[in-house]
Amino acid sequence: MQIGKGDVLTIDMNSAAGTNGAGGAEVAPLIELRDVVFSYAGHTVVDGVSLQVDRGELVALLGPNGCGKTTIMRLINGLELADAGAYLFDGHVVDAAFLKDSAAAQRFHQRVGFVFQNADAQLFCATVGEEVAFGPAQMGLPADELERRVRDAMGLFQVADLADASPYQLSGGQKKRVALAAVVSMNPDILVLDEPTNGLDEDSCDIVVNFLLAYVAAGKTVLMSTHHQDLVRRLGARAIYIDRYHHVVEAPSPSYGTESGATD
Amino acid sequence: MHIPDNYLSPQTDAVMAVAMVPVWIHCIKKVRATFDREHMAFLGICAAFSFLLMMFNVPLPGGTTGHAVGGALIALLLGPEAAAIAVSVALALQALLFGDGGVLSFGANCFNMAFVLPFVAAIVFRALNSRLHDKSWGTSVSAVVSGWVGLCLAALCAAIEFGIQPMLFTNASGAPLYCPFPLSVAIPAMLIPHMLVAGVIEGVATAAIYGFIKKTAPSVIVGPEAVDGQLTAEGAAAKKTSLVPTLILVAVLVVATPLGLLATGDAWGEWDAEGAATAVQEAGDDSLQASVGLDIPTFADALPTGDYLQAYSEEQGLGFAGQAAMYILSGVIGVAVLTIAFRLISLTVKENGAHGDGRAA
Amino acid sequence: MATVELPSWLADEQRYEPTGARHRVMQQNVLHLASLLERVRLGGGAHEGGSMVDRALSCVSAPVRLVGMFVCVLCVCLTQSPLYLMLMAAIALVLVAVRPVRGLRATFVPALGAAGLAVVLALPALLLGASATGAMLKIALKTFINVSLVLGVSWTLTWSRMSAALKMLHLPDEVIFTFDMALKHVEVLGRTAHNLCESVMLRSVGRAPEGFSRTDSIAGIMGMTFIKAMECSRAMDEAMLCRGFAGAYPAPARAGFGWRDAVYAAGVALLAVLCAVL
Repeated sequence: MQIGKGDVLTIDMNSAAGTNGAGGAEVAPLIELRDVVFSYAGHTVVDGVSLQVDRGELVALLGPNGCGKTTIMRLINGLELADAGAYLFDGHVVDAAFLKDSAAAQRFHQRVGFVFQNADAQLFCATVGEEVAFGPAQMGLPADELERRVRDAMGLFQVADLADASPYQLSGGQKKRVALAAVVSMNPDILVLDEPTNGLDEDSCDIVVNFLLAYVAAGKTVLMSTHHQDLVRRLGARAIYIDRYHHVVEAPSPSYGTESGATD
Repeated sequence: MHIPDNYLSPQTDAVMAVAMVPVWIHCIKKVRATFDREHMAFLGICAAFSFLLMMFNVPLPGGTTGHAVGGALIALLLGPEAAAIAVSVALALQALLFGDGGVLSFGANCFNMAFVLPFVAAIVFRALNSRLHDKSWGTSVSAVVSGWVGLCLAALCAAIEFGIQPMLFTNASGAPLYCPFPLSVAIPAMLIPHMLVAGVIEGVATAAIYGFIKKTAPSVIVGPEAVDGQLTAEGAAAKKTSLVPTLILVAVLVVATPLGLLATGDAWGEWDAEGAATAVQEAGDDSLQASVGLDIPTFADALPTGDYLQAYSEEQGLGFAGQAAMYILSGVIGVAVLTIAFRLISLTVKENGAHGDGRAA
Repeated sequence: MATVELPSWLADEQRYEPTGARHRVMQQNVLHLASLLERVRLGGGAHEGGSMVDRALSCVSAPVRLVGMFVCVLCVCLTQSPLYLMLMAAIALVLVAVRPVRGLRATFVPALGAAGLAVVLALPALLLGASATGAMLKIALKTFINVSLVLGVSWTLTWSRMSAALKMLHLPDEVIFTFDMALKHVEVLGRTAHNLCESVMLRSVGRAPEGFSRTDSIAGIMGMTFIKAMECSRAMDEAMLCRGFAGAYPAPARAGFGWRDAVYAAGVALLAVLCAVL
């Protein structure tokens, strides 16, 4: 169901629904990229990529540095728009016109939670508590519900004791967990994580992995990029390989698996 | 606020650039003395930050948006000397790479935004904060006011630079060669929007970002009020040193104004010759027209025509002496105005300083 | 492996209908920063295939070009001769016109904007008389010429060459080093600010809550960028110390003055002479 360039889409969609047993063929996948091409400054970074992520899946993007994993994630978040091809989120085409409607765009951003690779670049509030509350506070939740969410989200990532600390004083692992809590507190439908365990120590890594397992078990969806094969195995994630030529490669392919793994 | 080229005469540009040299030297020395190690990387990175700040759209409560210069903010965070260097380099980048602000008027832009703005802001902030620091809103208000006053004074300087152009640089027929707006127009035209909008943006941005950093990472603040409100003897000493560049600058201006005139004396002469050429062309002198080019539509067409040729030789002597006198006089007036402004401010600071010291003691 | 229990709200699907409050400022900033980063990444665009004239000009050594640019700008500023202005305008326009679309946009649009401002200012100058308006219109033309000349240089001279050029112009090493650092860190800090803006945008899913205005998010972004800048600078200082930095910044050896430079210099000199004569 991961598709290379030029495959026939209708067949793929049916097979996708069939393999996953996620429902009938009429249920649109949560994320669907169709032959998406994206160039940046004359270089094709994403070259005809097609992929699908269904509800309740945990999908890992693997591939060498510079193969376009981050760009695909940015496309999925609407931070970049495809030059050619289409991106459908829950059956709706996400393009410039879609994002222009600010209510739709806000709903979209609420449903897709993105954690950047560099957590430093994601924290902009004076305290951890404010940081985690930033998203949900805009959703018009009642005060007690908001407070509960912030508390729960910080508890999930074990940063509750840091509520009044400034993000500046945190360690790298703590920053990453705060960034995760700040996104999870909005209760998105899908978490898009760019290298979520990068630079984390074992304890932080365990916290993140255990959360992800519980999260997917509860029927939520996760799309992440990583360089770590063992993480993919540990999470039981469906792996999608992107080769150095920016093409999606059918997985699981043992030869590609070892090659990609060895690259990093 | 970024003065492009051609609004100011090259002579003015030269004087302003010369005026900035001692400021830059003082600031580099001061920054080196203040920080324990050689901190040149620090200055470059501050400049990059200042550059970004100038590009950033700041929303005001109420819906307006605009760009802040950021000179006041960096002055509060890292001291006015570091701010002067950082903003200067940022202005150089803008002028060279983005064509924003002139290459020739670089000195004037630095004077307004890299010297007047941060130093005034730092002085005002010290003065206010020493009084208000025990109130919860004290620092914010001081930061807003310092940014506002700093930017407005910088705008005033720019307005004066614009406004003296038509007094000093006109062709033989009295038509302005550069910015045509006299002081009576330039000052209100520059000051009113800066007081109402740009100054407010600068003030709000300064207060908001300063407040955020103070709350988040107070240890990175090494500016005038690193430990805010505690105006100790050390603080008073810092205050004294911060006035040194002001005094140097005033001295330089006094010297450089006539110097600039002397140095550009030849250009001055050519200048009038050019003016004469235009006038001659207008008047229809064939011998000169041949060299100037007959069929070219001239700007002079727009100018009031007349028979300048006869009056010209008489006027040239008078005109030059008159222009030179005007130039020196307005230089003196400008310096005097600046001196008065700075002395008034430093007077307030002294009073406040005494006040603060008393409190500290 | 410990199992994590998800709170009930997280297990449910979120029902949320946003009001659609606009966040234009943040979007503007994102776009603005993105275009800045694009410019910085390109660092001038001549290597992307400029016009023939641009390529010929890029053969001239950078310091000579900087000096030449300065002389041209000064001449334009000084001259009162309409003929000379027309000459320079012709040169500037030709240079712009032969550029590929990308370069044309990068140089022409800002120049036109700067000139447009002067034209707008010419209207109130009417109140001061025709001569004032004439002066403003002349400023508009001169501004257009100068800005397009300066941008032409910044577009055809890669920025690393520009800072190398400063080294050869006898500027103090410290100044060059500061300039260099600034150029490099515009990108580093610009990227940080860009990411922060995007992050704010992605998480701005509704109306700003009480007590958290848009100004505050800007303050957060610029505040964090500043903190990042300070971290960068500390790291840089320490790295330099570790690599035996002794407080001097040696400038590289000077490049020679080739025949291309001579041709260019002669051209500029001719323009300067024309300026004096006309």
